[in-house]
Amino acid sequence: MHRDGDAHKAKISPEFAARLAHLKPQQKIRAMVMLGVDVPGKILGQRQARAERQAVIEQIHHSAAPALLEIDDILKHYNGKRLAAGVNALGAVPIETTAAGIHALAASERVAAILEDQPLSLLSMPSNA
Amino acid sequence: MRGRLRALRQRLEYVKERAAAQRPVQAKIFEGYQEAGSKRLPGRQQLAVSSIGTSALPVAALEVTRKTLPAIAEQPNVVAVLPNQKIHLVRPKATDYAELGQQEKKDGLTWGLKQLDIPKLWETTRGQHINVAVLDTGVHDEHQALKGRVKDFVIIDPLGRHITAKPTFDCDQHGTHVCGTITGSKTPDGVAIGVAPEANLFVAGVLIGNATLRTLMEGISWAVEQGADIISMSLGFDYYEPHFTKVFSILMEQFGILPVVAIGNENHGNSSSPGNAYSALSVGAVEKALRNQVTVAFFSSGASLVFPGAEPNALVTKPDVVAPGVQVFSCIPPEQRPEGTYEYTYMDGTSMATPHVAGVAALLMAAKPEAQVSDIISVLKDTAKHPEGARGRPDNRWGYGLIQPAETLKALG
Repeated sequence: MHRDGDAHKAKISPEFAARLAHLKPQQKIRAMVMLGVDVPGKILGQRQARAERQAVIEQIHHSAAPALLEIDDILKHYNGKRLAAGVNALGAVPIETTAAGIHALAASERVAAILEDQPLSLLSMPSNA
Repeated sequence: MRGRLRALRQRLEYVKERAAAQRPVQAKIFEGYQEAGSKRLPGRQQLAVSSIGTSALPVAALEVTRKTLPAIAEQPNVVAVLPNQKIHLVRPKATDYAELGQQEKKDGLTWGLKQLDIPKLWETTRGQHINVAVLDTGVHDEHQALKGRVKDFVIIDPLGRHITAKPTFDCDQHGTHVCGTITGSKTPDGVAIGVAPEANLFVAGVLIGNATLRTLMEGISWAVEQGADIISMSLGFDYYEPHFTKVFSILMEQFGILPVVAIGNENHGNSSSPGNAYSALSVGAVEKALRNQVTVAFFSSGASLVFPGAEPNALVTKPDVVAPGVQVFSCIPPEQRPEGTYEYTYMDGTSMATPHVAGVAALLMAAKPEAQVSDIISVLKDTAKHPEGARGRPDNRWGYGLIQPAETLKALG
């Protein structure tokens, strides 16, 4: 783990950072942590057969394993937890922790980005009136 | 109350003073124009001039001919000359669905498919073997128009759990309508509604209950595992999430999947996240206009995001392209109304434009299996038609323009 101010900021959106700043120290928030997973033999935009697709997903899972151990240590320290057994096909894992826990995760070299688990909705429908 | 009256009196005095100050200026303009203008007319005809109201506003009405127009424009105190064009009452638009319905029945396809010249692509392919994932409100796969098209269905709940359901269902009408535009067959009246009627659908209900970013990411991950080639998303977050660009980049670069996302319905000057991510193919909406033309729908979002120093994406201009998104006829789960049961309806929105592009992408992928996702995106943009040609694009209304699927297919070689 290392700290780098700019790199840390680049992993959390300004809006998320502002929301974290308003949380109470023990208040927890849910987020998706995207891990920096290495996938050798990246095919750069070519369509894949099913077996090729599965191979890439397995590589992502395999590559994420050591990162998950580090994530777990950080979460434990900040009274947080993982909300899924492993990463999904995008190399992301849902977590719950405090604002300090989010900042500690962002300082990890193994973390690529942290996204707040913010609401999702249908786009507002246009009004013809 | 007394203070308000005092303020009104003061304003009235100010208006009177302004009018008094402007009258001599206006008189000088009239004199100068009539003198210079009449010299340019045969027989030195007099030109009509008149004040408007008490001259409180620095505006006057003048009679102008082609020859005398420069004479008024040259007056030193004239800042602008505006034509006295007609004005009209803004009324809610009365949409004549009956006439459109008749035309679509006559054509045997929706206006959107006709506008995009989709039957031309059907001479080559109808989207067979291409997997399109739809992340929406669900789907009513028992609909006659979707028979055999939905290959898998899942509900992602707010805790990220995958829940299977048979029969499939739509908690709204939106998801089924979107699916119909991508792969729907014909209505009982013979109107083709789907762009790629032989493509496969993989549908995840991600907008059921308190949906969040996690629900969407789990839905995307599910689509990846199902073998999706294209993911169609007509949805949005509460606030801009810059890191969702990473998700779309992973889809394109590591899995060869094309993410097609609606840009939103918040009018010019706005855009929705995640559609405004630089790595998403974002879609705005056009509507039918007179003489077989189309125009960008008033609600269709479009804006530019600026990230100084973040080359090559320091300026992100959205949408990328536009497609039919007004009066789009497609299938819905059966709806009981006093007059009977309805299984088709018209809807408006960039949500409806997005599946047109997803369907076109399915046809292109089926016809050109070797084409990379990045090529499909760039050729869709390059061949799109903007009313001002290449010099006017990309902008925040049309993006690169209205997609031209037949041209894109040709350009893909």
